[in-house]
Amino acid sequence: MNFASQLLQYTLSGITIGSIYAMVAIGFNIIYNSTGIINFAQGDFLMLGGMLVVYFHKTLHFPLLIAGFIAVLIVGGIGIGFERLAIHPLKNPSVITLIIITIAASILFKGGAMFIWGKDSFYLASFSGDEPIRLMGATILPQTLWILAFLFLIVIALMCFFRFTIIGKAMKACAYNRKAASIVGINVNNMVLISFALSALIGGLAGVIVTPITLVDYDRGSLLGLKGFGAAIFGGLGNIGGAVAAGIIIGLLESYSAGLLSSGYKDAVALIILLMVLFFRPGGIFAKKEVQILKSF
Amino acid sequence: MERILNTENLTKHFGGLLAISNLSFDVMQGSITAIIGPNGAGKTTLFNLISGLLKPDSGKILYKEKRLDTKKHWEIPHMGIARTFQNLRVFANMTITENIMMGRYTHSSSGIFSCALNLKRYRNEERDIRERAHYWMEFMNIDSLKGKKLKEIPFEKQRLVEITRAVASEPELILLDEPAAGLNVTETKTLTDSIYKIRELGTTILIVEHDIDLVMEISERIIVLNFGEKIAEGPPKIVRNDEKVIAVYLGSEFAE
Amino acid sequence: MKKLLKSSFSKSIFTFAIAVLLMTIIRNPYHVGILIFLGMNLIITMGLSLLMGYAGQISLGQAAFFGLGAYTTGILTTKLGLPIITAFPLSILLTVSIAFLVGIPTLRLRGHYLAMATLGLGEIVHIVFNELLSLTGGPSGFGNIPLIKIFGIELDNDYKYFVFVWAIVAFILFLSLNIINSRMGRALKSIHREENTASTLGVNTSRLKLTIFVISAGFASMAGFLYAHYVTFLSPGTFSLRFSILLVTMVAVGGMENIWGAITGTVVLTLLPEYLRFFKDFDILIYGIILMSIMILRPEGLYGIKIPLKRLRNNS
Repeated sequence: MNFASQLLQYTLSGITIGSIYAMVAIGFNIIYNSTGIINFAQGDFLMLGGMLVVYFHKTLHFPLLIAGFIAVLIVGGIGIGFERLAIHPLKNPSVITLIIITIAASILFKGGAMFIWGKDSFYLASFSGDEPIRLMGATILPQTLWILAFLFLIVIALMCFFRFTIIGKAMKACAYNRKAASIVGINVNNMVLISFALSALIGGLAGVIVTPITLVDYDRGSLLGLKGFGAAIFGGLGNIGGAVAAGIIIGLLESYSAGLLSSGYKDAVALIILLMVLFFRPGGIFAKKEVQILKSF
Repeated sequence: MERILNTENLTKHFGGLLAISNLSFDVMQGSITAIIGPNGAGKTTLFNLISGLLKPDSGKILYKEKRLDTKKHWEIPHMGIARTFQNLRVFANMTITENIMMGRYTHSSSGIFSCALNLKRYRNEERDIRERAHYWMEFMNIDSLKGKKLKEIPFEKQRLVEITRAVASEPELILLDEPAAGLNVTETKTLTDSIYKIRELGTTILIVEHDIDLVMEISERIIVLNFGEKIAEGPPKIVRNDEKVIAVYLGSEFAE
Repeated sequence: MKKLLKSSFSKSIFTFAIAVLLMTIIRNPYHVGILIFLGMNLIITMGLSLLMGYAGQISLGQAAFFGLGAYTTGILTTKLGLPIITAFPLSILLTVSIAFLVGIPTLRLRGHYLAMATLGLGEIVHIVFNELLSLTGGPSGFGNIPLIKIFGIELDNDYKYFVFVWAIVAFILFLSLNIINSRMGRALKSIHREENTASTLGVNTSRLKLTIFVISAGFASMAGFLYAHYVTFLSPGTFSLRFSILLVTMVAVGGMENIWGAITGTVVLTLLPEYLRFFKDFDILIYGIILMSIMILRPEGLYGIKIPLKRLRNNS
């Protein structure tokens, strides 16, 4: 393999992993927009989606499509349950309480997954075979194309949702100004519920489609969550298009540094980017200068 | 009389909104000066500028002829300026006495290590802080609140706690942001007495207040703001009859 | 007399006395060992309580400072052969300096941002422990860290080490109580929710936040030092994100706004797993349920729950 095709290979795997971060980042953004909460359990929605699809497909032998569908719906349901049981009952919670509650949820999801499925890693066959597609000396797994297609679909669907549906518009209003939204008659509580449901659905879906590449175990969510958050911050919290771009950039940088520098430190790359952005451009790299002030909450 | 505080062409925008526009005024040492104006006239913005929580876009604020707007906001209390807030900012996680003791922060200097090691110097200072806090609680007639918790006392008492905290720092200039808001007639009367008492200490008082009767009664000089601009300035009698001021207040009970 | 009992000094001595008494009653090396770990956890959570409960600043990277303290003394005493007496100040100093440098940009952030930034810092340190093979031995770690010798006595059994650790716990408690009740303690509480109000009273909030962050890192590195010379073996797994989160939840479960709350939470969550051992791998689940229930039902924490004895007496 010559250097050019090697570089292409890193690029392709960077885009793949970056798309996964992008999906996690989108989930962060949806909840952040309507609540100002960073959901520390976002990565675990992904893990649950993966675990459930494996369970329905491989243990209960459901057809993949149905297994995936059920898995996504169940994760959506978990998101709803989480909001109703843990977030909704709080009265004037402090930020630290909110952080700890979502951390508790994350521990609970992990603990539940370990309780049911143990500590093993699970594998799910690719949707359309494992035969790599050759491309100018590099190879690309068919599952990568599925991931890209789903990322594209999610982004298009969300854009339509926020632009053309009443609920989507109401959620955008909440993101802009919660008080004003409630004054014009938007039920802010429902919007918070919907945002958790939506974000869990996307997380679950991402889990289903990335499992053939990443494998899944009960603890898979933490680092994905952290890097997804890195992407969300990098792209500007709340900015979905920015999240996609940022996710892919982080994926690429990680892949290049793993390939060209050292594979051991590749996880540190996303984290260092996260810190640099937090320290120097907390509004994200795509935001204008005036927006570089933190939302206070 | 010397001036203690003055602004020169002070301007502050919030996005497209002009909150303070080219404002210049003087405050004389030892006086009670009131700032009035309709809602959104920029009164609280002005206080935030003086106390350093906001920085002006242009213009200057001078305190004893020294630039104030270039100072960091936590340095300003050390220069002898204290303030209270319109929306009551007492520390709910402390006792009432501790709240007042916070007012003595600028008069104490023990660092975290002498505190942690309980050094003698620190212990003496701590005793002094407590004694002074008690003294000012008596001065403001709230010594009955000693040992109580904030949530046990009504709103108007909490407001007095906040004012006492400011007074306990023995400032030369005190900024009171709507101290009478939410008080009934008797409570306002007590407040008025306290304000006079504070002034007798030689403290200069700058007050933002909606209660026009209170303002007319206590202040020696009134500055009227509207949309961030000064539209009138002078003793109560003159301001009361100023046409622009009457127009702003739509000639309501103000003109009598 | 009453006043004397209420002083920070007597509270610390009292804590130490109870601990030693407990040790002589237990007389079981395994249980004494657990109480040694409890002591180390307490040293970290007392610092975290100052930072989180009093000053209102969260840190999800405390395990990193614990690890830096442990690894520094471990590396200095084994790889460089320095005596412990020199390694000790150096390990604290290094951790505190790192905390100071990273604290400057980090503590400008608030709320969720601060949480994520400290979490990221903690993970980076964890990665370094894993990857800096020549110094840390990588994922498999390194051992043969020497035992501590004081006044010619080698702390070679659990009982001796217990007394040493709990003497330090008592000292850290003494320092913490003094800080809490001082002008600095009040200033910390004042920046908890109303940072602007604190600054209008003259508190240099960014400096104070940095100071308390550095102090909490110092406490954590102290615990790391004790850990290294007790276990005598270090591997990165001990200093992971999971431990950082555990520390934060200890403080939160017990009650953030009071140091005795943090102490309660640390005692409960350090001893609880010993009883949950019975549940084997389900402990994470049960732990999650406990944490979630407390945060929803009693967000102010366990400490200060009033057992309604008075009401019972009044009713009878």
